[in-house]
Amino acid sequence: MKRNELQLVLAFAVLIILTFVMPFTVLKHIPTFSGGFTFFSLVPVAVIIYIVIYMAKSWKELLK
Amino acid sequence: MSPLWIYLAIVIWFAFGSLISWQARKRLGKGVTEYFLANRRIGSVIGAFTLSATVYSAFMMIGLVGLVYATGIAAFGFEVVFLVATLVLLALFIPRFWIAGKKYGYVTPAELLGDRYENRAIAVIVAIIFILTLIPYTSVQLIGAGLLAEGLSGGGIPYWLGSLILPIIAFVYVWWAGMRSVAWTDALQGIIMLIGSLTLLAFIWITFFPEGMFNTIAASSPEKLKFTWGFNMWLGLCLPWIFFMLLIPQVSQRFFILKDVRSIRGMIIGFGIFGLIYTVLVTIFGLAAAHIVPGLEKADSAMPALLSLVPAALALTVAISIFAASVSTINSIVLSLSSIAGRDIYRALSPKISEDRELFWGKLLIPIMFLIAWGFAQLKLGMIGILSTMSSGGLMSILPALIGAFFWKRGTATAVISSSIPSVIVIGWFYMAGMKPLGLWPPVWGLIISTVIYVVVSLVTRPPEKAAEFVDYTSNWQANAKAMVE
Repeated sequence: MKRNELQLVLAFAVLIILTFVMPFTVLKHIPTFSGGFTFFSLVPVAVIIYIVIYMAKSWKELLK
Repeated sequence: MSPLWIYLAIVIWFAFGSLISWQARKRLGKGVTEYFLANRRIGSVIGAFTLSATVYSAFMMIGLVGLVYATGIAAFGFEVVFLVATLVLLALFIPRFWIAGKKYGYVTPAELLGDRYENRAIAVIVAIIFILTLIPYTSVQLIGAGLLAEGLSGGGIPYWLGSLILPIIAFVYVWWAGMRSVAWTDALQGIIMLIGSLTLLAFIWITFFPEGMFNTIAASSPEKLKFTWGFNMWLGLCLPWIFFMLLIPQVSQRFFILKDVRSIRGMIIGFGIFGLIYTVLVTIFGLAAAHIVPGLEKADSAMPALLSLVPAALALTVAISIFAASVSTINSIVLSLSSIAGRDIYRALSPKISEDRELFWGKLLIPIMFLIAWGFAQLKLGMIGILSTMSSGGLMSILPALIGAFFWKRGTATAVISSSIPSVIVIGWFYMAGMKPLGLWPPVWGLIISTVIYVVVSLVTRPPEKAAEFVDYTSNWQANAKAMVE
């Protein structure tokens, strides 16, 4: 596995831990849309942006 | 609603799909790769749509809406974990599958595993696991379609007929021109899924929430916005779904169909955007239903109850979008399983079989699989439900073998066989007996068992000669892809 792929896996691991921690500490106490709905909507947006950047940088040679 | 309107809508929808399928048919060449992989020439847009429409089935508009309706925002989180995990795994695995497919000529994921571990029995075992786990999953799609058609028509379209219409449509698309037809019609289905959902959202927002949707739901159903699931339920449901995309052949086979690296990028980004939009929409429907039609006995009837309150034309559009989601999933499953049966099972029995003969047997199995799935759909709901849940869990048994194939040169064939069989038996047994030792769900136990056995047995057995070459070649996929282009 290459270094950039390890970074991707690491970022993913952090995110998954976050999605396993946040619900049981914070989100279970917030009964509004600014709680779970916003958190779970933003997570995929962040991942899509991260992956777009990852592919643009790591696959640069092949995307020309 | 009059059954006549439903039949008319289905005919119009089917006519559009058939036109697309006919165009695909005109470009159909000869051979297994052409039929099952569209000659590895699918581009970004079609690639993104076929992946999205294959993954997102009728479960979203019926099952997930019901789950959000019953348990609130946690169901949204569960689907988001699936989406983000899938995106990361796609970025890591699609290039590896793709380059391996180009180099070694793989048609099915079972074939890839059998060749990488240099053991034909592995391809057969994995093929059998795929077939056993995915036919019940296909049946669930037909059950949903049958119930929806019956409900919408007020019983005018009987359940057996409602559940038969979709396999007939899917059969035409698959049989006629294989993967190219399926991928192109999937694009149509994906567009219909988005149009149907967005139109429904607009209507619900304007009609039922004149003072703002979010404020109204937050005031009327605040408990739905809190995270309410227990940890073991969260883990038990999320864990199999995190890896689900890698494990189902109708998805991993799509990694072989792309023409270049740009198409890989397009497929991943397109899938991410489609998945995000569709998941958010479905979540909003579940939350809106909790406000508009509270107190339903069965959560799965939330979407049908919602549709009963909208104008007939809109209800019909949404119903067609749900049918589209089902068809795009079942045609991909059956196409994939028929290629697996031809290549990994029939070829194992008769190694010197010609390509034409393999294609003949693969195609012959297409109507048979649809018939079996339809037959399953006529059985009792509870049993199918259990089998369907078991299917996603049961596939966890081959996860260590799949990851090891690409990332661990020490992984051996003996380890794959000795880890996957006990694991799938334990998962099935725990599900059937309703067992959750230490509170952990069956797939969690299945993954623990298969991982431990796979690692230990690999360390004490000799890896196949091809392992190092395969892992090195797929790890250096960028350099190899560049060399291939030059």
